[in-house]
Amino acid sequence: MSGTDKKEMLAEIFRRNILVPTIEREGQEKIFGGKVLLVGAGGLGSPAAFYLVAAGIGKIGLVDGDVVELSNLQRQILYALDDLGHNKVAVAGAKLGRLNGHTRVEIYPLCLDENNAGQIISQYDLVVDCTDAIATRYLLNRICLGARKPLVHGGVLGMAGQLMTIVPGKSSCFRCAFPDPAIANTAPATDRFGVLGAVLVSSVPYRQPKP
Amino acid sequence: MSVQVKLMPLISAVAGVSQVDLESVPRTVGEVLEKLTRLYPGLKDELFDEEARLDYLYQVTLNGEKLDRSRVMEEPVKDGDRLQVFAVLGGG
Repeated sequence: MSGTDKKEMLAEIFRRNILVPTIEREGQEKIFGGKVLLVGAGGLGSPAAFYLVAAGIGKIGLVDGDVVELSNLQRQILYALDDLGHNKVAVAGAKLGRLNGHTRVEIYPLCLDENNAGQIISQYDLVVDCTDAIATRYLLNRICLGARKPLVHGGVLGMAGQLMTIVPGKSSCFRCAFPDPAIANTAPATDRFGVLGAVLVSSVPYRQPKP
Repeated sequence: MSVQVKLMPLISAVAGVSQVDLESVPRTVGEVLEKLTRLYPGLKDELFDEEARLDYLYQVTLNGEKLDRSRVMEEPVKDGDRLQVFAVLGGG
């Protein structure tokens, strides 16, 4: 495909974005140049990654050391039966790379920790917390504050979801909202209380009414 | 004479406030929560399950210390105490 053909194809793919009055060509160019790191490629990471790449983000990083398991498939829409046992970000990287040919996908098949977090985060404009480990949420909060990187936190459980955007120096942070890191040891988890897949694509904090 | 109760994200959205100062001091955390449900009726279904136990989503800290769920309702409260009620949505 020639350079002109590719340019025309990308213009057609992203036409619906550009038609949105608050995005237009200028906004799409910003999306094309954006670099986003997703920490956790599971229930939250799947739809977040799909939509970021579909929107034309310039570079996406995926961090997850887990492999695909059967219990992932009712909500982790990046994966299918034939992906069982494979590393999540390897599978995700291959699928996302086929969406539109524009986004550069970097994969990190590892768990984020004190030793690697700073170096990885430094390569991105925005970090999205899609992890299921509360200790990692506190780590992300601290590293992003120090590096002055905006952080979007998401969390789910049962029929509830929450979302928080953290802009260093301008907003409160994850630890401001949840001051006690001891919750990492006791927080109820989806393997005990479950989570409904549809909760993961809601964009606002909410909870379904009890029956 | 007062007890300060901070309502963290999710529960504060239901109550419409993020902090409540109770002037008459309840004797236990259970009484604090019951008083909150009278002030903000929407909290009753949110905070408690069908058997009137603290809903699984929520935890309570008293002066920064997390309370054991099995005894949270009986935990004594005194003048000047600070409570936080919060949901931890740890799944990703």
